Amino acid sequence: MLEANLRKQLRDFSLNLKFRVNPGEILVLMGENGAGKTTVLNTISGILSPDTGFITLRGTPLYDSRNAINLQVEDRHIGYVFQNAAAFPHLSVAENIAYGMKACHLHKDMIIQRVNHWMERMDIRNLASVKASNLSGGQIQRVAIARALAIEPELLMFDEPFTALDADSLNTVKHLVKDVVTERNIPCLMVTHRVMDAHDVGDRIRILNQGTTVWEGKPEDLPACECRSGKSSW
Amino acid sequence: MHKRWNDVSSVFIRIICLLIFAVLVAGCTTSPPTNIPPATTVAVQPTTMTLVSTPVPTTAVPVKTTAASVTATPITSYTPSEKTLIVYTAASLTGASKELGTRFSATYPGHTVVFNLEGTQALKTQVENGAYADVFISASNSYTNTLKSEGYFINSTVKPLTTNYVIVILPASNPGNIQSLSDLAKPGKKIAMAAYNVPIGTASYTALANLAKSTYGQDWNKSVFSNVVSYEMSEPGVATKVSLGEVDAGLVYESTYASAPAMTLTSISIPKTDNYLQTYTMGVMKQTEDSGVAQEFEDFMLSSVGQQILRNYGFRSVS
Amino acid sequence: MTRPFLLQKKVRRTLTVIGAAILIISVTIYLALPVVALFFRTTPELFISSLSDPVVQSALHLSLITSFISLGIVIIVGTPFAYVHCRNTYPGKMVVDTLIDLPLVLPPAVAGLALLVLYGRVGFIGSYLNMFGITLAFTTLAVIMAQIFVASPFYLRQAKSLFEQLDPSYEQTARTLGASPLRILTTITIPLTASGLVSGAVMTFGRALGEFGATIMFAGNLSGVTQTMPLAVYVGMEGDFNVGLTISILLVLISFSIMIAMRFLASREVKHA
Repeated sequence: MLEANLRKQLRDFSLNLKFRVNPGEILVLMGENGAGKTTVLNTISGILSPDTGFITLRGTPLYDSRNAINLQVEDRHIGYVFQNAAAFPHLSVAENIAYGMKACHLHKDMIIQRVNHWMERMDIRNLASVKASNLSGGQIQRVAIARALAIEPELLMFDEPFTALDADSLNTVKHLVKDVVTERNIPCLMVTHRVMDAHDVGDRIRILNQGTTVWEGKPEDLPACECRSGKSSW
Repeated sequence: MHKRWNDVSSVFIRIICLLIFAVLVAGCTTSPPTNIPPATTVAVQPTTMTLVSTPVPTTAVPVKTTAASVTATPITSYTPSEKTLIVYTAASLTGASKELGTRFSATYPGHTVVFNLEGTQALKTQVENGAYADVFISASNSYTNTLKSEGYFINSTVKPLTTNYVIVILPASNPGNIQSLSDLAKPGKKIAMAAYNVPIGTASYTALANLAKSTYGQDWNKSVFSNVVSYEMSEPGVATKVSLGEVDAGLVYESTYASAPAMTLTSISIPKTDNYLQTYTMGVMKQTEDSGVAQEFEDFMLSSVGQQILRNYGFRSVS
Repeated sequence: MTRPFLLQKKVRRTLTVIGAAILIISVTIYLALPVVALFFRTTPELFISSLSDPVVQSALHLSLITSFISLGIVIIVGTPFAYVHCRNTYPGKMVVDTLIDLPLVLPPAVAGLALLVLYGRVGFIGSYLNMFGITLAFTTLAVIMAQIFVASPFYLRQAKSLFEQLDPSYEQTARTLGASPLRILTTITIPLTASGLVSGAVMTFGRALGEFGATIMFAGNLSGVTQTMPLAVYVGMEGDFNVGLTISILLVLISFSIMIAMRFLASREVKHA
């Protein structure tokens, strides 16, 4: 379970958020650009630090301003898929997926096994030795997801995971994400502006504006959700 | 019809303007034929034995000689009767050059002298590659003869100017504890000399060879040369290394030692019988644009006034 | 469109093309002709025979060895330095930033004098080293020190600029995957900036190879020990012209082949967004 209480002064407003994500649950953060959504992800991952607050994952404190705890990014064991996927362009698909495991000095056989497993799962087995710079947007996204999952993280985070996907991949990836989160029983935090996708994937939804929550609830209760038409404006 | 011509001609005009601009820029940044790289320098103070006179081709722009730098009375405009002489001069005359220039201008009002001071070998190469000089003062007879045979001199004007002996200089603190010429061969001493193609270089080697033959022996000569840590491109380069205390000894001209700042150097003389007497020659260049003034300068240098100045700076007279 | 209008466009187009061609040709000629002139001032026979001159040989060996060592040191020390410098804020960072550029604006002779005043026998640090019998001035090590001092800004500035411009999401992703800063530097940062680093290295090598003023001031001029090719050219120019010319041509050939080799290596790099 992920528990977080974050306070951070940003340029135009103050981020003030308290939330919890249960294992196996997907919490979707929505809101206008600049509402602070990506900052939330960055503080949870450790790339940024809040001003005050705490972050606990599975009982372990990742950050606690009262006790001066601030775990380094590399020690938080979080799978974070960036907005641009950031697949390492100079490495092949297999090398990309193996990257995190190599960094943790996992055994070679174990690495090969997991890489194959995730390539299979994401349906990119045939691209194993292709350099990431030669892949399409959708393929890169799948590599990034596989790479994040391969380290068997305690928490999964996505920043706009669906924007680069073509129609075919979209459904596959959505189902995949849901399946994996349920299987591994880990919490998942996702940022997206696409109402339809939030509705399909999310278990709970929070809408942020200027750093604070303005609405939270279940996907079916989403206000202004014209889900059949797939509109996404507020 | 008019519109079409306007467009064509406007493009054409633009290209022509670009070309003219490029030519102008090229013309303005080309150095005048009088000074051609590598770096040319002008001595301003007579007593500094520093980098100012060391020719060092850097990646920076070479220092241009300026007409007003060596005059006592500033001349603000040029009239047809005034002339600036370009005198290519062996670097060892750096110390004396300022006073020589000043006295010349005083004696011949309206004329100024600009000295280009470098190793004679460097000056020779420049002249051979088209550099402009009115007068050339060479520290080496062989270079003078080469230039004569190549036709750069007005041969009748080539005359001996002054002479100079070689001397061993040491930093004032004498870090190498060199008390005599034989100490130069002691292991571990650091010696600086000029390179073979610099006149003071060949002069030094000859003096050392003479000393070896007459007094100290060939082993001594070998040891001295194995103590050499640097062959400098010019005489000031040698003097700098010695005055900085970075070497134990160096071989330069007596005049350089005589005009060094007080208490920076000490010396050991080389006996006249073994020493090499360098004869400086001067001559007017064929390419000079004003042979009259050039001749006046030569006369001045050979006059008692000019010769006395040279003696004041440690040079010896010709005889 | 009417015919005259089309024609006028065509004329304009042609003139623009001619103008562009003139620009390109004139710049190329300006850069290439002096180099070509070097080759034409000698004959192949003279050149080949000069190659066996001991002065040429020792200058060649010395220059190549010292320049490669200098380059190696600059890369090995400079790359992590640039990385740490870029990825962190620390007190005095701006001063260090300026210092990196200093050797670029300092005349090489001044740099050489500064090195001499510091590391020379009577220098501030040199005098202490001298007590332990360590000499720096007038040694081959001095050549390397001078080369490193004047050439390192080329590599450091390039590395700094590349690291600063690299999309931070790659390194951040690597961090989330558990990679240490050293692992990130070697597996992500350097590979993704390699071609730029290579061109920085080429410039650094070229500058080290051509270094003159600082070398003669701090290291002196002694064949086989400190007489690098540029020094030998200068001595040769005023002594044995053929030697000077031969070494100049060698310098051109070496520089060209290194640049071509580097570009070839860099072109095999992955192109990425």
